[in-house]
Amino acid sequence: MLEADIAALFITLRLAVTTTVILLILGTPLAWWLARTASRARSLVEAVIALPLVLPPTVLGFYLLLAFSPDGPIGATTAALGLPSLAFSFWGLVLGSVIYSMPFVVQPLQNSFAALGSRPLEAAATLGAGPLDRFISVALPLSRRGYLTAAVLGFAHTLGEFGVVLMIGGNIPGATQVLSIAIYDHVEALEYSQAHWLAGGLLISSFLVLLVIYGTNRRVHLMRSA
Amino acid sequence: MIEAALRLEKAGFRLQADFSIPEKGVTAVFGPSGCGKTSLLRAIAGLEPRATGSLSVNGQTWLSADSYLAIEKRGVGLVFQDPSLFGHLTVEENLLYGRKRLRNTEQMTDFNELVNSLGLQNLLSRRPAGLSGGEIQRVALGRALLAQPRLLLMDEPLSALDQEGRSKLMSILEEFLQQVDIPVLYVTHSSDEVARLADNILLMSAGSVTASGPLQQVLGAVDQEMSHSDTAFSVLEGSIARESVPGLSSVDCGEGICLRLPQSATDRATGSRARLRIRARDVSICLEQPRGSSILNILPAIVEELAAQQQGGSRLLRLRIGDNQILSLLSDYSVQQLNLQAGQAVYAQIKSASLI
Amino acid sequence: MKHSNCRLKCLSAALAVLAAAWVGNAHSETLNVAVASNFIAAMESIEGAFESQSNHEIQLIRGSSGKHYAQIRSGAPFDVFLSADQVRPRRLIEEGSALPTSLRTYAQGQLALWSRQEGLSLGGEYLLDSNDYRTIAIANPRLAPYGQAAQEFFEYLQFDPRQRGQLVLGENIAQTLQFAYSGNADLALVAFSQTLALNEERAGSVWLVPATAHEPIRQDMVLLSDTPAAWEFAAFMASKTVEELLLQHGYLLPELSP
Repeated sequence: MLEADIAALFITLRLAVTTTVILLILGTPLAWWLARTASRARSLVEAVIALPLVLPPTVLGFYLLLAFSPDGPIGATTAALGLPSLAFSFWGLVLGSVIYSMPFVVQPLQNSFAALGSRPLEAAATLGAGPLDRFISVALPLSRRGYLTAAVLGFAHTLGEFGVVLMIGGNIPGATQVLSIAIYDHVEALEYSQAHWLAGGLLISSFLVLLVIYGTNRRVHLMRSA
Repeated sequence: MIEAALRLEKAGFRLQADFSIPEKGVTAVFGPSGCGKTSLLRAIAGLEPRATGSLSVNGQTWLSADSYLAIEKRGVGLVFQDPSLFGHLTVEENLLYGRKRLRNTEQMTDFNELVNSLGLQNLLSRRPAGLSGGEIQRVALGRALLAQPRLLLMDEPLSALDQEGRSKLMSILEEFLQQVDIPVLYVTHSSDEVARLADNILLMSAGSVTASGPLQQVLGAVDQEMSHSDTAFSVLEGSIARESVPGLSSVDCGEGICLRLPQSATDRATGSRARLRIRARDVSICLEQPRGSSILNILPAIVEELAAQQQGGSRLLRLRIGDNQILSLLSDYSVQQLNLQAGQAVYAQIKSASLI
Repeated sequence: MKHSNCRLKCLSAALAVLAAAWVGNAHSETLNVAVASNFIAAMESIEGAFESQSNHEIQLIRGSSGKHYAQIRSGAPFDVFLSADQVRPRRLIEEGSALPTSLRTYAQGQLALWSRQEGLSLGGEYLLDSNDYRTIAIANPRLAPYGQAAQEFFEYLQFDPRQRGQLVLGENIAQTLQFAYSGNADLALVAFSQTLALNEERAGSVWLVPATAHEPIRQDMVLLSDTPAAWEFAAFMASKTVEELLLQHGYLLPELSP
């Protein structure tokens, strides 16, 4: 039992890290566009991204389950490409987590980019920096706090994911059995002491991680711009 | 040489500016709030992508019907009104930001020399967050210049500062801008700044350029809208002369014309350049040389031009005193009473002048 | 005199009517019956039959037996608990939440192998020999007796599904069927009763797993309220009517000893 629980821990961490990294990479251009565009499509995109905030995770899980099946759009595509189905797979969970945690990463980034204003970037442009240069040398460093928030929220949200995984995970130890499911199973099987160990451990370690991150963030915060 | 015919439409505002600016010297862009000075500057810098028309700087086309040169390629130095330093970099890193991105290592301003002349030596390792308004603007100026711009644009750089910061920075700018060998466009709505810094002036009103040219010439145009205001003024250039009477200062304006002021100029070296600002309403006229007057400066002058129309009972005249010209604002009644004509020899009584 | 006598009679008549009504109402109860997911189809038929011959009503609460157990422990107002297994009713009795004498095996489940593809001849040989499937779903053995039975079936066949492809665990028997129904799993081991409840167009392919291939899946029930209605229901569950319904819905009759 302990082996399975440790495996669940590693799967969960792997899922959270993978999802967060993917979201930071995908989220950066998306949040940048949202923060700076005047396009009418913006509200539409914002609404779509924010959907996971209001939908029960089981809704997402349900639609993903249908989509992954051989006659669903995603399942048909993976089959055509000769790839195995995403249902009951780690990468299927990653896809579900990416969709589900997206607003938690995109929104802080978007706010951070918007708060920059146009001044620093205009100044950088007059000093000879091209668009990508401006982003990397000015926008990114000034958005450190936003990135930190986005990463922490994305990571934490994925860590606690349950509903989506329940629908599409299949509970395969070493592949899709995450900590939240493991805890749930212990409870269902009336193994309350194991459930306590896992749940309590998760609670305490999450709290410590957040404490460290926010403590470090204070020091970053003290060096704000003029 | 800068030649421009810029068009820009923004919410409820239209910029239609046609002008040309010489290669050297400080050109003030002067006008009331909202007349489009900042928009003009931004359009020149390339920060208004919707601007149309034409713009060429020293032979290089920055804007035309079918081309638009990107901001980062224009080589324009811009000092904004509000703080624009990069908060995550030190002062030194800020200063070098543009320099690091220079494409060709042409003739470069010496870093240490510039830092010293702007008084930044002790600030290099500090971060923008702890600097005063004046210090921030000096760093911004240094940063812009170290990037070897072809043109320096300054958008009301003093307006965000407090009184003390303003006067400190003003003194530095006065000296500094004379040494810069690229054209400077200086936006302001303060006649004080114009008087102290400008060699040329571009007058703006409601989105258009209404006059441009050397400072004295533009200021002296009696039919100019700006001249019609109560605050019309003239600027005289001269140098500090030795004054035997304590409590008085003397400014030698050439051709034997010396103006005396009841202020102490002991902090200025004899022979150093000085400018005087004289308000038109402080200049009155006498047909004969008056005697026993309390007014310190009574000078022979020739009436050069009268304004075609009176405004609110007043009439503006341009007088020539030696090499200089001064505006005088009189009541229309007086003008008629004295029967003043162009070419007439009179005496100008300058009630007060400010040494700036 | 006559006036007050009349009044007295009217009053007592009114009281008698009220009393009769009150007593009559007390006899018509609503029973909250917590029923295991796999039994729901059968239970709906039983509910209809019960209500037509009793003046009591049934309110069904479907769900996993694990959740029902936890809820009952926390004081959920259920009157009857139809579990999918034998463990949970016994625990409730031990903990004093249920009436000991009411413990009874109400049905015995059957296991079925199911695929949503039509026309397959499923069976033990199919599992062992066919190359046409990759993912097989069973209920989580730790949580569901049908999952436990499925595992026992694999052992009986000496078949390791992980050698073949993927073994996927459903949280409950309903989710297990759902995995195969949506096409994500190629095969599923589910309750036979579930396969009978499917629509004709989606009937797929079914194979009943012989009862000898696994331990009997005994489903126990227990009463939580000591009311006449509850006992009436308990008695009804042992009636001939219910026995027929059980067979119709794919269950075996409970063996005599629990």
